[in-house]
Amino acid sequence: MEDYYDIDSILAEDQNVKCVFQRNIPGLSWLEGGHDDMLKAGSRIDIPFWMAREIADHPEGTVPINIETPEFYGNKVRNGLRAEATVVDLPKLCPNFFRFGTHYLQLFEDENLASCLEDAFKARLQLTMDHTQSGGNSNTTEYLDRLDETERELYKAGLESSASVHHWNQQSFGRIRSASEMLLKRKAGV
Amino acid sequence: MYGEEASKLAREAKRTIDHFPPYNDSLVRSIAREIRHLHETCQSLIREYELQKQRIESQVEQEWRQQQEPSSSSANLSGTTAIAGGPLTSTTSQQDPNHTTLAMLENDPVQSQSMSVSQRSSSTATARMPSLQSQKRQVLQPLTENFWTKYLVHQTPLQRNKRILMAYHHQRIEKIKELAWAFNILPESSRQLLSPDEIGFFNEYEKQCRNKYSSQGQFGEIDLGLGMISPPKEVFITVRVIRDCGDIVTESGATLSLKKNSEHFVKRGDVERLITQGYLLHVA
Repeated sequence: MEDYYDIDSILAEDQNVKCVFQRNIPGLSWLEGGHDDMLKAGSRIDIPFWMAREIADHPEGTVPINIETPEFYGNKVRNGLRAEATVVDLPKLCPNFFRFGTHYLQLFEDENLASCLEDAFKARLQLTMDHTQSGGNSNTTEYLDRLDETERELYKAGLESSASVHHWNQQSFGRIRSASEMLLKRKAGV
Repeated sequence: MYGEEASKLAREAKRTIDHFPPYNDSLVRSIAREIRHLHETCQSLIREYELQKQRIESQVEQEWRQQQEPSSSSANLSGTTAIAGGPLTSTTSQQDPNHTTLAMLENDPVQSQSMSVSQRSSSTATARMPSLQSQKRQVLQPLTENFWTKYLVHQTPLQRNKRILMAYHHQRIEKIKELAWAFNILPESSRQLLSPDEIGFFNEYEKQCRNKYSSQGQFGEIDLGLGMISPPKEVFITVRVIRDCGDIVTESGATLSLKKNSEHFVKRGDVERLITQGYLLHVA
């Protein structure tokens, strides 16, 4: 079970997915923006993943629902990631690409997708690490734009750690810092 | 769509994770309103479902009883034939006069017959009962599924709203705790960022974390609010004044006049707090 208070986890679940209900449901037409009472069976609607998951996975039995694989986990993107993971622009597809993947894969068995995400993550992580350790690179911003939220966190952590090493080398750790500086400093490892 | 306001708040919390934004009172209020609305909707959905369920259940039970009617009459019929057969068997037993009367008294054929009938009818009833249950379940299935789907469409945003509110306040409380360690008294600039309840929390927390240690003497005179864990290396340090703080009387009784942009070589203990409060900058 993940942290209940984790904002990142909350945001990762906040991703619309396309769903198809298998039966008519009275009183839910507002989900697709209709004005009649009945939500027709077979209409494709966008609902947030956190809702779709509960409906699809409820022990008491609900109206059968089909959750479509999001486009950004489709074959096109998978092939792109396999070909060259480091150049795929993830935020354009889904800002929490990897994190949402872990939520998504808890609901669906998809070995293929799981391994694809894992390989891509590893491949990209290496480059992210390189960027943080080499100091101010000129093409960093362009690279940063292609990172998803998790990778950005890791990038920040990498920068912080290399800064810490620098500080340690300079032996400037005995300094007292002002409170506002301390507040600005993000807690490491979050 | 439900849950959108809450998502907005979650995004704001994420965006401002590095600094301390003012308390978003209006958004929190509107999310709380949405929660109340969702709660009422959920309640009415449950009531509606219970009513429909009762109606359908009684309907099914009625139908079941109607179906049961002919079968129970047939059971009576078999019972009457058994009773009719009763004297027949008794006559056959009476045909043998040497038959022990005690055994005959114990196994009164009519009684045993009626007993078997009652047993049979009860056994048929128990055989029918689950079928009534399953029949009910079968009829109720679509209703139940519809109900749960509709219920979840309202209940999951409620839960999510709650989770986001909790996460938002959790994040702020952590920040306020840091503030409490850094400042004895809340600076006016920060005070404006807190909600009244948060100011209350700050005061309580600040009192707790200072009083507890100083009164028990656990840490002696160490000021825990300095945010420094490693032991100091030097007694005297150089500081630069960032903001004017007038004349300070040090521990030894000397007066230190700290004017803006001046540098001083002073005893560490005298100025530690001024540095954390942002008046001075530790240069070397």
